[in-house]
Amino acid sequence: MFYWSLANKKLIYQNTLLLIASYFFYGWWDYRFLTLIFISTLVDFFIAKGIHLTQKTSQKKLLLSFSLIINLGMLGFFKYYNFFIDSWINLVQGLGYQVNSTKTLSIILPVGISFYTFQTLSYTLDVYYKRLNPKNSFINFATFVSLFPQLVAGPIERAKNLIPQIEKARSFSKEKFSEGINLIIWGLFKKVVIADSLAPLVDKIFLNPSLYDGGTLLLGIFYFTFQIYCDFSGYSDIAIGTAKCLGLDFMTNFNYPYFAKNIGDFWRRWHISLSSWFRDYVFIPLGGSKVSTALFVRNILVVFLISGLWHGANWTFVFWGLSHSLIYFITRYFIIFPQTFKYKENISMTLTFLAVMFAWVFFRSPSITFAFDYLFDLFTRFAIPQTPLKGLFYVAILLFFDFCFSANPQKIFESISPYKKQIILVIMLSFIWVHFSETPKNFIYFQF
Amino acid sequence: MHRITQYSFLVIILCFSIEVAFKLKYYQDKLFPPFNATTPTEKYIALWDSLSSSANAEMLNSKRLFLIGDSFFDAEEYGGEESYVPYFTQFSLEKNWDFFNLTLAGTDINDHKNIWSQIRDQPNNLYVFSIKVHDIGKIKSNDIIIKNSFNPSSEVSFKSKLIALMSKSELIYLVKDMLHQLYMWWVNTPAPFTHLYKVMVTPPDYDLLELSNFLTTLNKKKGFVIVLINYPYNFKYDIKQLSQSSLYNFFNNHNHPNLKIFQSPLITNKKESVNWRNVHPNSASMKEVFNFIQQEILNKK
Repeated sequence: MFYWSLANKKLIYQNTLLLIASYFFYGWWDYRFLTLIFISTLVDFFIAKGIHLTQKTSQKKLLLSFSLIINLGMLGFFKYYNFFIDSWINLVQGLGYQVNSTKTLSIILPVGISFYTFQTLSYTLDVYYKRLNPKNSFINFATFVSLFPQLVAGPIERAKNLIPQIEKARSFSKEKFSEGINLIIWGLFKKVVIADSLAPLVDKIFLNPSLYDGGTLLLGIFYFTFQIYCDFSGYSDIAIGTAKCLGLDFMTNFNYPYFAKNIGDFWRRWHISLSSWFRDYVFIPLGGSKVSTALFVRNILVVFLISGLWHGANWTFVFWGLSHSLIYFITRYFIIFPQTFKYKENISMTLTFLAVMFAWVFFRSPSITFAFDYLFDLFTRFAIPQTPLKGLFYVAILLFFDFCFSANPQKIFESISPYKKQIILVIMLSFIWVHFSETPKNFIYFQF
Repeated sequence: MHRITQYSFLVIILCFSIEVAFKLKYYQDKLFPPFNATTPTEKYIALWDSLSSSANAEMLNSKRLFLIGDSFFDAEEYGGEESYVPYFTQFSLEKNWDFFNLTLAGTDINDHKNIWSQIRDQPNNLYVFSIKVHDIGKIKSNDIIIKNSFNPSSEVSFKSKLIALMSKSELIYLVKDMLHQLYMWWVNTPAPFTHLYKVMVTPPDYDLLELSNFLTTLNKKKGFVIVLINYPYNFKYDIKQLSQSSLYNFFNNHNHPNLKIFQSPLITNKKESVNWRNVHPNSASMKEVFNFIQQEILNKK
């Protein structure tokens, strides 16, 4: 109310309020890490200006390097320091040497650091590549970096999309507000009802897979496939919906990814803001697909490797990223259906889903050995599972709603009559109410 | 008219949806144990087996504290934030006593009774024993007691069938809970026709007899026994009214030399539960009740 009451006054008041709210939101978790986000904002605001004003390419490169070192340095220290130290110790010890002096640190990972680091970096890179002019208002830029709905788990917004909206006067739109509320409810439904109901089943199976038959282990992966989708896309929907209520449009982050026809298509539908970031700032600068096959393979490997590492400081995430690149190469070079084959699309979709599903084992497992043992047990001890089948009902409910909704993930009720919309909302709200837990589970992607 | 029909349909959808959501939420929960899963009773016996040799070892000088109970002592598995166990562990540590934690969520009075019979009589032992009011009437004696004259013709009546059917509905259970809360808030006693009402206000004589026998058994053990009668923590009791209830008076009139009975949450009048439907005490209530019991133990010492 207060936010919209400022709409008729100066825009700067509205944006300042957003900035204060965003910093308060972030500081609520741990106020000490506000300095990190502030440093990141300050560095990129002035470096982008410097890059724009400098004529010499070498100086532009120097300034860009400075920004990359500061941003990725902070990310590297807080997220990867212990991982690299541990890996180094393991490697050296594996070679037969003794390591005594190197120690890991007790570092708290600042929530959302991977998200806002990439967001602020995209601004500097866009200015460097002359896709964007630097902004004059620090308040507007700081609001862009720290905007609270997407600060801790995305979508990773682009300056080109979001800053012009922040700079423009926003007035209340009943239609947009309603769309926002619908998305928030849908996001909550996916998180509270589907993801949090599947989570205990998945946790139980992954805690001690040796206790279960292969069928139950298969269900464990199947459930995790939908748990992570509902958990993450649920958060994205809540973020996008909240932004809509504030009069802002975020980019779509998920577009029915499990209906993808190949792994490339999957990444165009899953965590779109991150995959398009890697496409624009890593893959294309490396040469993209318009290079020799060897270089193309390298580019793909690099992108998937970094993508895996972005998700977490563990070799399981690296392996998960690499498994996706492997699936990509297999489907691109070895599985080719005849053009006239009638069921080409359906089979491609099923195979892609299965490949993505099995790759999640590496993502969910605490170690690579654990993941391989899990898969080994799955195939060698297979039996039709008797329990826990209730997860299948949750997946069925999700699919039912997915089929009811329009193809546009941001306007889910677009093709539904108002009365049917009311019925769906009543069902969703009652399910959310019943499933709301006294001990809510964190969003999985908060850890990244 | 059309609008009324539409809204009526929405209300039906809402009720149906709540029912399905509840059913789905708890569907097959208990059917998904690991292969080596055991029932709470089996776990409890295993727990005792692991502690019995040290708990029953003969010791004349040192004191031992036994905590025996169910989820009212350790509600973590039921969404509670805390349990009494850390409080008593710390207390025993400070006093340099041996502490034996025999509390397990899911167990009932018969499990505790079984373990009780296996604890060796020793004069230095202290016991804190939980009895939840829901368990009153469940006590199994060694003699077979036929509680009800079974009449097949009355059992299959339409009314009983209807009640059986309705009792399966989560929505009706929810509405019943709400009405019960409302009644407690308004009248300060449990609503008639509820299990709590039956147990607290009109407990059958044979149940009270069983209970009395059990309390005598507890009293026979050497040492000192504190029995904590746990009522649901989520209801707005009026102590004055409850003091007139049969169960309250029954416990109040029971005097044994080795036994002290406290009726919780009435002893401290702390009545905060985990949430409005979860009857277990929250951490604030636990802390207060613990302080009370601690003081009683110290006074006895």
